[in-house]
Amino acid sequence: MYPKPPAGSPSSAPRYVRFTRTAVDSPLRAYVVPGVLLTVGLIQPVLVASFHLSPWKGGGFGMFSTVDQPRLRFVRVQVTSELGTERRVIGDGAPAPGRVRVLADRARALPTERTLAALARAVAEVRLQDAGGQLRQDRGRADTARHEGSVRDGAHIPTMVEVEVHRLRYLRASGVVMADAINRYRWVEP
Amino acid sequence: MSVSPSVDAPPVLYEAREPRLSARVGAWLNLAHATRPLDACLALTVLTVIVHTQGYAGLPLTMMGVAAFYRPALLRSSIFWAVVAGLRAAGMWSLGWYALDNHQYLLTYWCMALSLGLAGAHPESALRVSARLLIGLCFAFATAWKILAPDFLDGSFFEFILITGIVPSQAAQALAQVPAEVAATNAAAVRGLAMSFEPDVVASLSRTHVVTSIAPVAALLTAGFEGLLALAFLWPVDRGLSRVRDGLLVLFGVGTYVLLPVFGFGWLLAALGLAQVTRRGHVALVAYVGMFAMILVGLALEAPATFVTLGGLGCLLGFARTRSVPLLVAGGLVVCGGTGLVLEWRGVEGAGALGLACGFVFAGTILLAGGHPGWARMLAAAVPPVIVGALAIANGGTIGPIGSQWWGLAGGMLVVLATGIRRRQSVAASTAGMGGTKAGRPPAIF
Repeated sequence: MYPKPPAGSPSSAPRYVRFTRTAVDSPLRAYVVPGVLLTVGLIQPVLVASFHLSPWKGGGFGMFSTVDQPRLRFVRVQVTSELGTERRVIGDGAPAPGRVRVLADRARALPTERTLAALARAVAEVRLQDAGGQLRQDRGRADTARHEGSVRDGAHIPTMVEVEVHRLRYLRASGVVMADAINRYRWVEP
Repeated sequence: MSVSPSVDAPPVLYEAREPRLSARVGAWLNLAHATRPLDACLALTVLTVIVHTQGYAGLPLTMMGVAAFYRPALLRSSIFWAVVAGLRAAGMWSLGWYALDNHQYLLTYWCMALSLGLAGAHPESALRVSARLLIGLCFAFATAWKILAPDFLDGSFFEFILITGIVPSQAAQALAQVPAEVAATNAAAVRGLAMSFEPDVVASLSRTHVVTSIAPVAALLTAGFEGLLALAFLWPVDRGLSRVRDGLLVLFGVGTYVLLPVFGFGWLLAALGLAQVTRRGHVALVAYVGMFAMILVGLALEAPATFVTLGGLGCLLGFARTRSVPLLVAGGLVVCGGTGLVLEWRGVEGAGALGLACGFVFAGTILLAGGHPGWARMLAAAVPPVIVGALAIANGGTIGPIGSQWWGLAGGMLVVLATGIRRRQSVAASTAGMGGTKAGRPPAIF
């Protein structure tokens, strides 16, 4: 649209076109993307230290440097209701409902307080839906009245959900593996 | 009056006097010698983009990749790479930046660098600088992590992955002499520990003498070699360590990525390495392409599904450039039958027979329609998506890890077929076309 003028002659193109052309032709453009890599690479260790991001992730090139990868992290969930306490572990490949699975995967890579809170709320919602579904399935059966009663009384409603993210640590001297808690969150029914 | 040859015209080294096969071989040898490192790099990059793109961006990116192989001039377009980088960035965001491996980041950076580099006046020199810095910085960060991580230099990490088989490399486990049953028992112990709610529970793992001996040595060698690579690529060009950078990278690529199944990173390093090679016909160019091929062998052993995808792509590419109907038939058979067989092997009952049957239907339709436009050609183009749909239904809604790439290939076939199956071009015409002697146009890549 605006052909390049001969060397030494003033350009008739608008200023912004001249600026863009100069920027694109500048040898400095070769350093832009390495600069982005450098910036992300320097931010990633800060996220690892502050928010427990797995060193394998986040563009910091920490893969194959430590056992602490998301596949070897797992989420322990404990749901308390009037009917008792239910415990479950969500790890690599473990079955879980859609949204819980997504949040658990996120929590294993980046277990921030916010992610754990969202995961705990999602678990509580799933438990509530499960209680409703169970009630519909049980309709017409002999113990329906008792079951309906327990749901109406709120016995199925989770009163507390505790979520903990753990990572594995390998002690080479003794040849044992142990689990360390990275972060935990407790959701209590408001 | 004699006409001096164009500067961009490739040198004719192998003059083919006989027609047909020898002419074709001569043309390909000339092409291999005349290939610019950057052209080879662009081709390898687009292959890596096709194979290693996850999420919703997989489909459009695969289709763009196929289109680029069909129209190689696209690979030289800054806008093409800007769109690829944008799609990759969007795909990465949708999958979660915190969940992606490092090579996904590096590949997106490289696509951005290609877009910026190809936009300017001297793309080769700009991309050489970008590629060298990207490789150097990548290895510098990797070395820093390995030195700072509490469980790397003492060999804990290598010992753990070898005795548990967490990183599924049969070659590495065989080298470390870890029996499969020992690895399975250890992996079960780790799973049991993860499932336990009891506090202060530990799992004791079985080890072998070889593993305990080689793990610290392997750790030190790895960290040292990566540090050396970082220095070689960040060193001023053509001085000191910089002179051996290509050899070091090829050695690292072949040694590491044949043992560990991180093919995306290996291929990307080969592409980046090619981008910073300075001369045509340089031994480094051949070495990087060889590195790419060796990693492909590892890929065939560890991930046959992706290999099948590449086989199909190769046939499609062959068809696009030579207009050879048998090549397209072979492509259909490889993709349909191969994917079905791989799915069968992975536990999808009946997928092998269905895939092979569809492959033969596809091949038969192409042969019937060959050379003639019309409904038969469009029917042939519709077969691959139907096969994918059938396989998806048979597999409960998913067709495994190559789903989006498969759809992209099918779409690419549709594009190729829709543009028309022409009669085979003469050998002379195809030779001239491959050489790319038109003034002002870069030589075609394939």
